[in-house]
Amino acid sequence: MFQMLGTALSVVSSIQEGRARQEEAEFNRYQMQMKAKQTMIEASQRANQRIADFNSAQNNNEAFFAFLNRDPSDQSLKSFMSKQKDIAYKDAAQITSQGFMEASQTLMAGKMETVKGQNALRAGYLGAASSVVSGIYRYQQTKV
Amino acid sequence: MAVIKQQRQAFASNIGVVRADTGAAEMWRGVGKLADTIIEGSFQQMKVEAQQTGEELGRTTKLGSLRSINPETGEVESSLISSLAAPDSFGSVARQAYKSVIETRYVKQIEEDFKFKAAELALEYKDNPNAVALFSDDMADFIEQSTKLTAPQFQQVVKDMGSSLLASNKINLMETAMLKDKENLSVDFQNTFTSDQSDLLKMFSNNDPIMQSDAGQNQTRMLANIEDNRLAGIITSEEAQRYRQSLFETRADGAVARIANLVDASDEYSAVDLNNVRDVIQRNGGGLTDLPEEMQAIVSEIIDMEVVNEFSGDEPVDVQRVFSQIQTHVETSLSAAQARVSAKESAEAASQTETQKTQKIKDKDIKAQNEAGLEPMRTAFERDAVGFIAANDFQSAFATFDEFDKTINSLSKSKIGDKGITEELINSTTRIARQRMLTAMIDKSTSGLNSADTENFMDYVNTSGDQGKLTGDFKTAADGIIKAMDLGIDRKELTRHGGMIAAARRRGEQKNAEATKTQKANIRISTGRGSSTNTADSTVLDKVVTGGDEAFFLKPEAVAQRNIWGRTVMSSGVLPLSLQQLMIGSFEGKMYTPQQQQNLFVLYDQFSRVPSTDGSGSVVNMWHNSKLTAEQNGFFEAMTSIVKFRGYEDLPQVMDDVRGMYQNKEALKIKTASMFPDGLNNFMIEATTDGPMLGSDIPNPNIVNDMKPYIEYLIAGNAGKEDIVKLTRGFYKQLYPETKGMVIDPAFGTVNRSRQALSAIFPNADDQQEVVSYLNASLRNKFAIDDKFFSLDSGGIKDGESFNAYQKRISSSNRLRLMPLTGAGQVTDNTRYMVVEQRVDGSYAPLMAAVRPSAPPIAGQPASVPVVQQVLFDVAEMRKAVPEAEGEPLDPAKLAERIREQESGRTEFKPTIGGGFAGQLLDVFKAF
Repeated sequence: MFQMLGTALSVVSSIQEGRARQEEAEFNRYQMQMKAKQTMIEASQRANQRIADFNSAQNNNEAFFAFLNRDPSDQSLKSFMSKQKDIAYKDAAQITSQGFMEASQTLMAGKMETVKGQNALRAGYLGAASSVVSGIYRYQQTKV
Repeated sequence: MAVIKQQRQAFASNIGVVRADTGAAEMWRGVGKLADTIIEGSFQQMKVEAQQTGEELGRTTKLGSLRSINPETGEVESSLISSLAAPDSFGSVARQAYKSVIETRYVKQIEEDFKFKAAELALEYKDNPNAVALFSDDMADFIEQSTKLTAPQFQQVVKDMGSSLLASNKINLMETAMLKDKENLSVDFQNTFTSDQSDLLKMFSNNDPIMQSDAGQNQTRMLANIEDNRLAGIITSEEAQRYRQSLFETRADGAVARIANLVDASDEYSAVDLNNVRDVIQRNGGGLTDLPEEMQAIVSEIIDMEVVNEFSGDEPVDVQRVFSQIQTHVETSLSAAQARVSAKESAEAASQTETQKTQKIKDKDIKAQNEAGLEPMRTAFERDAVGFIAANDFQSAFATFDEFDKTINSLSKSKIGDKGITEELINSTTRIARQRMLTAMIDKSTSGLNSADTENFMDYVNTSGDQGKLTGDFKTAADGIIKAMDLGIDRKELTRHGGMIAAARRRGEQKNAEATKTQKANIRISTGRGSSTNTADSTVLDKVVTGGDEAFFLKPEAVAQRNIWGRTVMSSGVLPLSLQQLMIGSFEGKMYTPQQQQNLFVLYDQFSRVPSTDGSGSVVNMWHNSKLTAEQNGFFEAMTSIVKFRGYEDLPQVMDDVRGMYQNKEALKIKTASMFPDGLNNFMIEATTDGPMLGSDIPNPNIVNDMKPYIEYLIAGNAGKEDIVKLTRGFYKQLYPETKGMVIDPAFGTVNRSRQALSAIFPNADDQQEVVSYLNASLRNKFAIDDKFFSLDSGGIKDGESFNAYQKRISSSNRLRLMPLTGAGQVTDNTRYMVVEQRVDGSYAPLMAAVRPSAPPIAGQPASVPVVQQVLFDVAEMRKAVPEAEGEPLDPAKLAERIREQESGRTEFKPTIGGGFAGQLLDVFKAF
């Protein structure tokens, strides 16, 4: 009687534990997706800000050159301006790329949580099956 | 001033993730643990229940028996183990428990079956002569069949168990058979004895002198028979004594019967005479001459019966008690006879008719004739047969027996049914006659044989010629005996008789061998080839010295007379056996009294320092060539050394200590090493070496050897080092005084000191001088020697001078010295010295001289020739020089006490008793 009760309890607890672990993993996966999106948003924001900073500085420079009566079509100024732009855009691209990679990693971790949850559920089922088999074996040993 | 442009400062930053942990999984894991606990607990409980159920079923299941017989096949049956399998419903635990119990029961059941079968077979064959063989065969068959019926895995176990039981039961059966045989022999002997005793009583009751003589011979034969049966183990010593006593009682009964017959047959005697006889016997012959003459001889026979000789065999018997019991028996018999005669007299007095009296006499005569009818015939036959056998004419003896047999049988046929002669009586008479003839033939045939040949002859007879090898006349005689004997009836009697003859001869042969051995030992000893290790030699010496008293050497007289019997021992070179055995017993810790133990040490000491017979003056230890082992000799040498210093007080304790010391040598080594790191020998050599200031720095190894066992004993007894050092130096100085050119002690070799120096006996210098003067005067007066003399040297050894150089320096051609005969040891008045003079080569030779004649030769008669002899002095004689100097000799025990007192400064000056003023002054000087 107690043997059967124990075995049943063992089966239920094993399955329920697996399920609980799967749910936890699912929740974790959702959290990871959220984090990836945030990372992407943050990276876009920083890249935009870098471009905005560049534009502001470009305007200042042009105003300053005008004040100095410098011809904006002067080759040297052109070259300077072109270089400044190149640097600013490379930074923006770098920021975007970094954000993308971090988001990808987080998404990957989220997928892993999904697998982990599935495995926990399987382990729960296996544990339940093991309890049933053990119960039968013990019965065979001790039956009279 | 530059234009300030607004820039964005707030950005959406990464807020991270939240890891989920609801606790649900932990909760379910807890439930899982609870489930495991329930499962484990209930599982253990179920296992116990399953085991109990299995065992219970195993115990209650009915087993079959190997002894159950199948009525159809008629063969033994048993439940096969395969039929005893556990129920299918059982789990493995219950099944295993069941199997274990059932298999144990199965094997035990088989064992029980075997035991029961063995008991059954033993009961079945218990009375069968071949019981052992039959039992073995049947039991082996049963075991074999049973083994086949058992399961294969148990077959070897069952087989081994069966073999073991078979062997055990077989041995028991054999023992039982042997006991039964012995019991049968005992019963047989008892029956024969009773029959013979009955015959003997008749013979002793008869007044015929020839019959009396025959009765005497028969009694002697029966006494010998009793002794032989006792030696053969058929009857016990107590039974033998009862049988012997019974024989004497029979003889007494015969005498009483004769007296009663006299009274019965004569009107002159009455019951009153029987009463007088009782009175005389009670008074051990007092008033014998007052009895009627006819009765005197018979009563004397009772009183003078030689009981003593027959009861003085191996077993100690209270002869007085035996005689008293026989006397009581006679008294009882006489009392009964008296009562019977009194009754008869009363009855006769009451009888009124002459017819009745006549009829009674007639009946008595008829009865006597019937009873005596066979006896004279058998006696006559035996007499004839013995005559033929003595003449070696066995054929005639057989023919006579055949004739006797026919006659007596024809008599029985005609008389069967008559009162007093039965078929049993006839058979018994024939059997006795035949057996006596055959035993007489065996006696005659084996008379010249030794024990082995006698046994061979009897083997041939007992096995009807199958065993034993005989030829010639022996074979003819044995074949005749075999032919004449009735195997079923006579074999045991003849076997026993032959065995007794062989046993008696073996005893004789052993005695002869002992005598020869003793004779050879005597020759060896008388020719100086005796040895203490040879038991025969030492036994002879034992008898010579002790006269057969095995406790002689434990008695005080053995020590008191040791100089007398000791000469015999020393001259033969053989130590008595019992003395050696007592020494070994002492070593092994046998319980002798302290006085006996002391005696043994004195005797060991005496024979451990015996002067060599080669004239060299050296001493030998006779014990070294005895039955004592090296270890035992070591023990006694140590003990004799220790008691020299310690005395005999608490001797058993000292012996135990010394035994312990020798058994635990390692402990002694450790103690010695811790006390004397440079070694005990080094210490003792240093302590016993005279310093250069005293004249010599020569070590004294012999003194070291003499003292060492005692010092070791002190170390083993946990004495302090300081005490040991003081004692060693003190003993050396005072117990081994300088010899002063007077004494040469071979035991101490080239050392100028000796325990037997003159100053050891006479410490006072004046006394020493007196003794020297006395000895010189004795040489002159007793031996007429006036060109040689003793002399004391007071200078001693000079610095750097060796002992030999010293001796040479003080030597002159006419200087004599004393050499102690018994070597070093405690000096007593019996200590003897031989006088020696130094040869040119430095060795010493005994001084030989003739005793001066006590009176001048008488004129006209030839003067007597003086006999040259060795010149000897003993201490007692030396004491004559200074009779007042009877002070105590140097006692090591008191000396030890004195040394301790002197060292602690607590002593008072104790002047030497006796001696002159100069000597006392010297003592004062030494003491301070």
